[in-house]
Formats: sequence, C-alpha cells, structure tokens
Amino acid sequence: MTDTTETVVVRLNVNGEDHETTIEPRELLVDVLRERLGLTGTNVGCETTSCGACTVLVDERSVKSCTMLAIQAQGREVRTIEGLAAGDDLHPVQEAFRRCHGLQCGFCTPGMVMASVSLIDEGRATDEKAVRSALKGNLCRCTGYHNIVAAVLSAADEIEVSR
Amino acid sequence: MDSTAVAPPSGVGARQMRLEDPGLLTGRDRFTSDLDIPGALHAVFVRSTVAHARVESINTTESATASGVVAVLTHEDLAAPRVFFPTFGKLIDDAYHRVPLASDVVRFVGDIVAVVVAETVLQAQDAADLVEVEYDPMEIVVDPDAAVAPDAPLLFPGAGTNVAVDLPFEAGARDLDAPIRVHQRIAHPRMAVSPMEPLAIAAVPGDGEKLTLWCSTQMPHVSRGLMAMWLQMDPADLRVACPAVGGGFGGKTPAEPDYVLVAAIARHLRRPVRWTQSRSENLLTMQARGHLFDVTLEATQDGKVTSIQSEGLTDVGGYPGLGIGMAMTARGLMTGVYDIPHASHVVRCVATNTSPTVPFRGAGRPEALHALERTMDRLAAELGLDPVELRRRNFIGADQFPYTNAMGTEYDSADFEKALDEALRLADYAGVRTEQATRRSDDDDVEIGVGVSTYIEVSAGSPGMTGEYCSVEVSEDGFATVVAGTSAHGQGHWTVYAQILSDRMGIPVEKVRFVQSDTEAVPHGMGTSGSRSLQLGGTAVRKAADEVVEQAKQVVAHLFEASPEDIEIVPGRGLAVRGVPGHGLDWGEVARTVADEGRRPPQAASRLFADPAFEQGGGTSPFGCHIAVVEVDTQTGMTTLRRMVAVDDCGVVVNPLLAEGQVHGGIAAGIGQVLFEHSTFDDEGNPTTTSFADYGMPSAADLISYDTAHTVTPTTRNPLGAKGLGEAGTTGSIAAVHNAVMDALVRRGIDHIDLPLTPMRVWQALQDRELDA
Repeated sequence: MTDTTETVVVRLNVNGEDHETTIEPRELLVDVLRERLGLTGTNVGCETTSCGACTVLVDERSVKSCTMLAIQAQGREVRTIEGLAAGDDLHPVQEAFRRCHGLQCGFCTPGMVMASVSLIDEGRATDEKAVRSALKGNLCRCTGYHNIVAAVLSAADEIEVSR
Repeated sequence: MDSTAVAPPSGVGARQMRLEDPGLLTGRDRFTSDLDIPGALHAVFVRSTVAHARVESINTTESATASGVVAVLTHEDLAAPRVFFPTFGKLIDDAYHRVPLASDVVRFVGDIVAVVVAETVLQAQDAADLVEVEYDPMEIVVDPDAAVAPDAPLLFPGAGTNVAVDLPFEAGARDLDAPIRVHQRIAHPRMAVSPMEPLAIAAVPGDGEKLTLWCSTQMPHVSRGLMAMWLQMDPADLRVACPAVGGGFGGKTPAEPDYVLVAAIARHLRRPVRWTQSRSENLLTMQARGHLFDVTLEATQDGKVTSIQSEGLTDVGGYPGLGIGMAMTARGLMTGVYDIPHASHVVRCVATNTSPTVPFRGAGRPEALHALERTMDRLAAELGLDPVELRRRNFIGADQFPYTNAMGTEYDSADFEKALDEALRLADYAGVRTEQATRRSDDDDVEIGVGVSTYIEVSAGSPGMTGEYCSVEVSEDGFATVVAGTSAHGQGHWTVYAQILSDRMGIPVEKVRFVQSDTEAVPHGMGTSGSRSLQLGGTAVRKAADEVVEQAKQVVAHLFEASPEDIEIVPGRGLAVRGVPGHGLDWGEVARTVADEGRRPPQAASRLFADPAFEQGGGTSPFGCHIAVVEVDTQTGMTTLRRMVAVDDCGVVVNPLLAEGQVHGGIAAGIGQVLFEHSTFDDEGNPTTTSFADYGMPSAADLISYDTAHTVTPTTRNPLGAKGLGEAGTTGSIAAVHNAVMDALVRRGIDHIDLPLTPMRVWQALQDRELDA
C-alpha cells in the first residue's frame, strides 16, 4: 500500500481472540484471515462464491468468507477451522469425517466441516437428501460426496445423543 | 471420542483410518499458497483475450509505474524457455512447441503475453489491468473437424498443417464376410480437471544458481528434471518440493508451462516470486478429453464381434502437448474386455484455437472404453440382443490370461463374468427390467433406463514408469520412517504404506513417519499418476521392510547367540527368539544396538535402513462392471440417477475404506462428464465456462450414494497381489450412465445423443425426433 491508498483499522474477533489490523476497505474476509492473521486453514477455491472452500462461521452461522468484506465482520464473532478442535480433541464433526473417510486431499475440508457444523446446529441434517441439499454450496472433487454425507449424518446422530 | 487413542496394529486388509487426517481436518497442514515465503513478490499473468492473433504491441508503461510494481515482463524482457515433452519430441514437429510467454502470435484465449510482478497480489492485479495489448486478429478455428480441413487457418504455418499427429494402426485378420456392421460417431467432450486447489507455486532463488520451487504438483522429481532441462539448469541446483497438494487428477502432471514461467522470472529478478492460479484461469487452462471417435463394429449374426475399426480425432488445443498422450493411450484399449481378432485405429491430434489439453482421471482409458461400450449397445440394438448377453458372448475368457489384445496391450488377469454377475445381482437387473417394462406399458413420461459398462484398464502402465523407490528406516525411538518416491495428493499413501510396513514388521501404524514430495529429501521418484502408487510404492515399502526385518533378525540373533532363523517378530513390540520371549528387543533397542559398534554384528551397517526399490516391468489390469439406473423425464429432458452400482476388481485390497473412497471419487467424475460437465468455446474461441457459475461441477445435491463392491482377482505381477484403483471408477462409469440414459429413450427412436446429457440436450433430441417422425 502507498500513502495514497485508503486504509481502515478493523477489529476482528476470531476464534475467541481479538485482532486489530489495518486493511484496504476492499479486502475480503478470507484474505484478511489468511494473509493478515495467518489463519491459512480456510482456503480459496473460486471467485464466484460457488465452491465453499472459504466457509467460516460468523456469529455461529456459516458464511462464505470470500463474499464478505473484512469490514463487515467487525463487531461479530468469527470462527474458523482452527478454532473448532479443543486442543488435541477434535470436534465431533471432525471426528466423524475421519471415521467415515470424508476427506482425501483436504482442500475443501475446512469449508466442508464448517458448513457441516452449521447445518447440523440448525437442525438441517435430517436425512440424506436434506444433507445433500444443504451442502450444495461446498464442492469437492476427490470424494464423490458419499462419505461426506455419511460423516455429517453420523456426526448429527452423535451430537443429538449427547444433547 | 479420544482422537489420540492408539488402535491395535492394523495391516493389509484393514479399514484403517487415515494418519493424514488430523493435520488436514484442523487446517494445520499447509498448501502451497499457505506457505510463508518472506520477501516474496506476487505474479499476475496478462492473458490474451483473443483466440488467434498477431501481437502488434504491448504497452506496459502505465502498468510498470503503478503502485508496488517491481516489473512488468514481456518476451522482450525475458527469454522464456520453450516447453517440450521429450516423449513427444520425436513424434511432433518442433514448430508446435510452446513458449509460455507469447511473442508474435497468440493461439488461444489465455495465452500469456505479459507478467506483472508486484509487492502484493492486489497491486499486481490492479497493474495487470493497465497493460495494453494491440492484437491483429487472425482467422480462428475452434471446431476440430474444421481444423483438419485442407483450407483451415493454420496455427503453425511452419508445420504446414494443424494435424500434429496422424498415426494409423492395424493388427489381426479382418473377416470380410461379417454380416453385421454398426457405426457410431461418439464425442467425448472437453471438460475441466478442476481440482479444488488450483495451481500454485513459489519460486525461491538460493545461493548461486540454486532454486527451490514450492509447488502443487503430482510429480516432483519428474518436474525437476523437465524444469531443469527447460531452464537449462543443473538438476542438482533445482529443488522441487510440495507441501499438501489439493488434488491433481492428472492436471498437475508433470511440469506446468505456468510454473516454468514463474521460475524463469524468479531467476531473472533474483527474488522469490509466487503465483496462485485463479479458478477462472484453472477452468480455462486445465482442460482435458476433447475427442471424437468414429467406431465401427463388425460381427456375426450370433453377435460375435469380428472387428473393430475406429478413428480418433483429438482436439489438443492451441499448443499440442500432453493431450497427445491421451489419444495414444486410448488406441491401446479400443478392444476393451472383448476377444476381438482384428482392430484398426487412427490416432489423429489436431490443434485448434482453444486451451491446450492435459490428462484427466484415466488419461485416455475412459475415453476408449466409453466409445467401445457405447457402440456395443448400438450393436446389441442392431442384433435385438440384451446388451448384457452381447457382452457375455464376447468376453475374453478367464482362462485366457495373461492376454494381449489386438492393439498390443497386455492384460495380466481378469474375470469379467464374475464382476458382471456380481453387478447384475447388486443392481437387481431383472427387477429393474421388469419395472421398466411396466412403465413402458403404462406409457409413463418418466422412463427408466439401465446401462451396463464392462471395462478393463491398465494401471502403472506408463512406459519408463513401472518401478518406484521407497526406503524404510527404524530409528532409536522405535519409529519407522518411510521415504517414498510417489507423491500423494489425497490418496492416503502414508496410511497404506504404514499398513503394509506394519504387516511385515509388527510396528504399529501410529509409529510410522512419512516423507514424500521433496527432491531434496527423497532420492528418486516418479510421483503419483496412472494409478501406480500402491502397487509400485507399496511393494517397494514391503521389500524395504522385509530387508530391515532381516537386518534386525541378525542383530537379535547375534545378541542372544541364536540363529537368525529362530528370531521372530513380536507384533507391537519388536523381535525375540522363538519360544523365549525374554530374549528379545523392541525396535528402538534394535536400532540403538546397531548404532553401537561394540554390540552390533560384525559387517552390519550402523543403522536399520533399506531401499531396494521395486521394478514391476509393466502394468496391471484392474477391471469391473458398472451398472447405472436412471430416470429420464421426457417432458423436461432431466435425468435423475436412481442407482450407481460399481463392481471393481483391483486384486488384493490393502485398505477397503480408502479403496471405496477412490471408487466414489472416480464415479463422481464419470457421472459429471455424462450429465453436467462441458468446457465450451464460442465460434470466436472465447471460453464460455470459466467459472463454477457456468461450468457444471457437480455438488452433493447432484449426486447419490453409490453401491460399491469388489471381486478379487489377484495379480502375480507384485507380491501384494494388488492393482491400481484410482481411475477405475471413472473408466467404468461413463458408459454405464450414458447407456442408461439411451436405454431410457429406446422407445423414442433415438439411437444416440452425445455428451453431456444435460436436460436441454436430451429435450432437444426428443424434439428433433418428434419433428422427424
């Protein structure tokens, strides 16, 4: 950035921690998370809000962070994949993905997992058809989705039981 | 559930959860664009917006002075190397080889004319918008049939033709009296490889001539060799290393023109330069397939095929390259699973003003099997035979293996009847036919269709790539380390190699470390492609493990004054004298013993290490049968998948959980090609499917769950008895789904509809048929 570039200071709460950083107003949330905060778990897979690799939670709701300006996340609680596990203990959704072999290369996985956490939380993981529909915005080229759907249904059962 | 719980040692055959997963599930593992490269500049490519033109001028003045810009480079500033693949070098005219930074002519929309290098990506993108290029338009040719015509505009006047390869082939004796003859022209359209991680590279110059390329590739060592040749560097000065790689599917083999350009720029500027491909660049420049097959089958009245005659026309895009390999491979499999005594084929590859093509899952084999299996259904229709029955009459018998087909391709082992019968059983074929008959007699607008595809393919078949390097070492902490020349990008090699090692050595999988994908850390390797890794790398691991076990037996025998033949593995612990459990050492102790000159056997090496490598000398032939059941709504043209049954035989299955995953992914890609995916260009060569908003990349909502099973016909080619599986799902599924849709339309008098079978295309075919009728 040169002196003539307009900048703004944003305060973001990410995974329970407060961050303050100076950015250009046009910077996307995903780029600020990755480049300025070093949280590279969230990935960029497209430019048309289609693939979902960038999915994070904002105030507990799934959001495609490539389609949100970082400024828009100010004053809200952002949760990325890095904030999901508790130390070495994986979140039940992460565990289910591992159990069901719901990931191969892992590039779509952080977004897929965050989207799954959100859809289960909202009670939308009722059956296979509902899960497939809810995951329409998260693309994967490796798994053919079969085991991802199984993982989400399995995690939903587990989370339901432990409620 | 405690994620750190240690499972009991689980070797070959176990549904072992992946060791790779915790790093990927938590976002800890880094992909290339996640790497921290201090001082790195960012490159953005300025690409041609016209498909065929002379470059009159490139004005970089305003761009070069934009904020943060370090350089704006054109061919005048940088002598970018000519990219040529030695395997094709003798096959095609020099004139076709590409220089990744265009100078006088651009040949496809996307051809690179300038590169902006700036401090940040945003600055580079802003400055790229300021580069002004003047093009003098030339005549454009997009359609491959038009490109082979004598009056076609030439992409390479120096070569005199757009046809880069034109090779006829014929073998066997043709029965001139065969009464039945069926011909079908079948398109296998262009599509996008579309791994979820696009290309990415960071080129980091070191001291002197040294250069490190962190990049997303499937073949680090092969890339190093090619890049060193193109950049005219000593390979010893070039390191190619990958962090996590987000899928490849053939689109990241072996070395990319875009990567060599970034590497050349880093050397030129003597600064680290990184580039991450955008999705629109990826959908534009990582395209695959693009064939037309004219297939003729000749047969007896009984349906015994006597001859297959085919001609391929492969559109390889603006710069003939890797796409040629797919056309060549397709030839070898045109007879498929059938015992056909005569075959002829023409491999013809033509340049057009579209993106140069690369391999995609199956790399020529799905294309061949699709063309063959589709035409077999046409033959069945001609004969009034059930497509299953026609296939049975032509299978190569289980007792005929090893078998060399008329094209000269060797199949090592197979049993097609067994796979077919299992698939028919799982699909309840008879039940579906009954339901179909009912719907037909009810005149239902929603038709049911069932399609069968019996396939065979070749894994680990690439010439010169039928061996692999792996080493095994046990260290003093009792952990084993596998160093592998293969290069996983989702396949789970760490896990399966650990299972194989665990079986041979008794070391738990959790105590196996894994090193891959770095030319500095791995002495040799051929990477991962062509479904080669498990059989070649896995056998290399097994051989190394066995050698280390022998070394360890010598050590324990020496220490306890026993004979090495009396030493056995104690699973989960180490080794001991048979019948005397107290006379043993755990693996760490064995390693500490060999490190101690006073305690190790004389002439023993000072560490537990082996790297014998494995050369298989050829490929193996996975095979199977896929059956698709679909519903086609003839009012809307919409196809809904009801069932996808896949019976695949890859010999011995090392990890059924991972094997299923490979089949699922392969099937999804096949279904995608049939129902949703198509990379298109308009008549001016403008790409029209360069975002996921236009390109039909299937989501979970578009697909169903799959019914997968295995038959097991081991191979004798390697001690694991294993064949490859990574691409078989795609090779088998395309024709199954295509045949199913056509089967649903049988009553409508439509012989064939080309892919993709989108609702619009099916509906239009139905309308056209109505008009004709």
